[in-house]
Amino acid sequence: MGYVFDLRGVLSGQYLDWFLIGVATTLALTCAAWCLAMAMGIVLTLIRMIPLPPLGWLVALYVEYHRNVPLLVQIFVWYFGVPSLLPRPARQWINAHHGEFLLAAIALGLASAAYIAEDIRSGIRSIPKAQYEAARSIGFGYLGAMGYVVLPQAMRIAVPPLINQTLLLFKNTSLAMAIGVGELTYRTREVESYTFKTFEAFAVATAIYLAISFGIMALGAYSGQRLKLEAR
Amino acid sequence: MIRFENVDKWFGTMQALAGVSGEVGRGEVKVLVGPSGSGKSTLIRTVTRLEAIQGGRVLVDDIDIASRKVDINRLRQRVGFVFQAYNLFPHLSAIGNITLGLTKLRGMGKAEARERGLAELARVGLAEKADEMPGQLSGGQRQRVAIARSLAMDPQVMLFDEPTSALDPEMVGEVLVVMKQLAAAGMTMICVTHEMGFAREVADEIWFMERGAVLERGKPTDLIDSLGHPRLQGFLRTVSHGGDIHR
Repeated sequence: MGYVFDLRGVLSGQYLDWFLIGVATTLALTCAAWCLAMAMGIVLTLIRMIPLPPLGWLVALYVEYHRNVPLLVQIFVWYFGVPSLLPRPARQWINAHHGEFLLAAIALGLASAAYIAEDIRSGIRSIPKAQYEAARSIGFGYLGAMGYVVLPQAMRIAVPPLINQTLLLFKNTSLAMAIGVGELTYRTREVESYTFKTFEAFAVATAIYLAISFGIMALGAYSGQRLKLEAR
Repeated sequence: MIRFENVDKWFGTMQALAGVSGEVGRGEVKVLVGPSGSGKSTLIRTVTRLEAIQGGRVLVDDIDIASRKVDINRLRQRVGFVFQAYNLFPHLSAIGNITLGLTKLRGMGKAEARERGLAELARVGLAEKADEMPGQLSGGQRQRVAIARSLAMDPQVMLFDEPTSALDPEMVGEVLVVMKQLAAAGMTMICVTHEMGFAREVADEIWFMERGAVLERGKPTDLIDSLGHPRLQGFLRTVSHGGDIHR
C-alpha cells in the first residue's frame, strides 16, 4: 500500500492553530533574542575597544565560550542551571512568567551576540582611520567619533554578515523545544503525534521555515542595496 | 596665535620633525612647501594633537596644547583641519556632514543648524548640493564641503593638509578660490600645498621644509624669485610644471 500525501489532515482545525501559534512563538523568540544579541554585541564591541587588556580577555572568553560550547548545552545551562542559583522568589517569578521562553531568548541572544560582536568588529576595522581622525578634528571625543561616525558606517558594512547571523538565530530557535518552548518545531511534533501524519507535518514546518528564511534574506538584500556607501 | 618651539617628533627611529620653531600671527597665512616626507603635514598635525610630539612645545594662544588643562576637543573645534582626502562622512549628506558637529557638539537645534550649514555651503558655492551624498559629488565639491564643515565650527585657525593634491587639475581652481576668499577675510591659515601660484598670491610667508626642519622662510616674492636656498630652487623647479611660478 502506497503512502498518500495529504496536507488537509494537518492543516485544519486545531492543528492549523497549533502551527500558527508555533510560528508566532518562533518569531517572537527570534525577535527577543535578536534584540538582546544586537545590544549585547554592540556592548561587547565597545568594551573590546577600550584599551585595557583584562577587558579584552573577558570579551574573548565570552566569545570563545559561546562559539565553542554546543548551543543546546548553553540553553540547558540557562534553563536548568541558572535558576537554581537564583533566590526562591526569582525562581517563582520565572516559573510564573513563561520562564522557558525568557531563558531560551537569553541563551540564544547571548550566543548570537558573540558572533555579532565579531561581525561588528570586522566592520569597524574596515573603516579607514581617517574617518575617526576627521571626527576627532571637528571636536568629537572618542565616544562621539565612534557613535556618530565610525559605528554607523561599520554597521552598514556589517549588514550582510549580520543578516546571516539573523538567519542562524532564527533556525536555532528550534532548539528551544528541548526545554518546552512551544515554538514551531515543538508544535510540529505535537501535530505529528496527534495525527500520525509525520511527513505532512514536517513538510509544513519545512515550508514555513524556508519561507521565513527567504524573507529574511530578501530583507537583507534590500537593506544591503539601500545602505550601500560610496566614496568618502 | 600659534607658536612652535623646538618641536621634535619621532616615528620610531625616524625623526619627522627636528627642532622646528616658528610663529603664525593672527590673520596670517603661512604656506608650507617641501618634498614629501619633509614633515610639513606632520607639523600641522601637531597643532591639534593629531600627532603627539616628543620634544618642544606647540602653543595656541599662548597655551601649551600638551597641557593637562587643555580640553583637546574644545581646541579642535577652534582649529579647523582640512585633509588631503577630504574625509567626508559617506553616510551623511553634504549638509549632514556640516550639521553633525553643530547639533551634537554645540547643541544647536536641527533647524538652526541646517540654516547655518546652508550658509556655510553657500560660502563655498555649494548651497544647491546640500542634500547630495558625498558619493554624488566631484572631488572639488567634496573638498569644499569639507572646508565648509570646518568653518561651521567657527574656527580661529584653519589648517590645510595638501587640500588640492588629490584633485584632478580642473578642480584645483575651485578649491583655491575658496581658500583665497578665506585668506582675504582675515582667517589665520597654515597651508601645506604645492600650489605656488596660491602661495605667491596669499602667503605672508613661505616655510620651506626638508628632513623635518624649516630650511628657509621668507616672503613669497623673495623665496620664489631665485633669492632662496639652492635646494628650494631645485624643489620649485620640480613642482612648477613650467610656467606656473613665473607667470
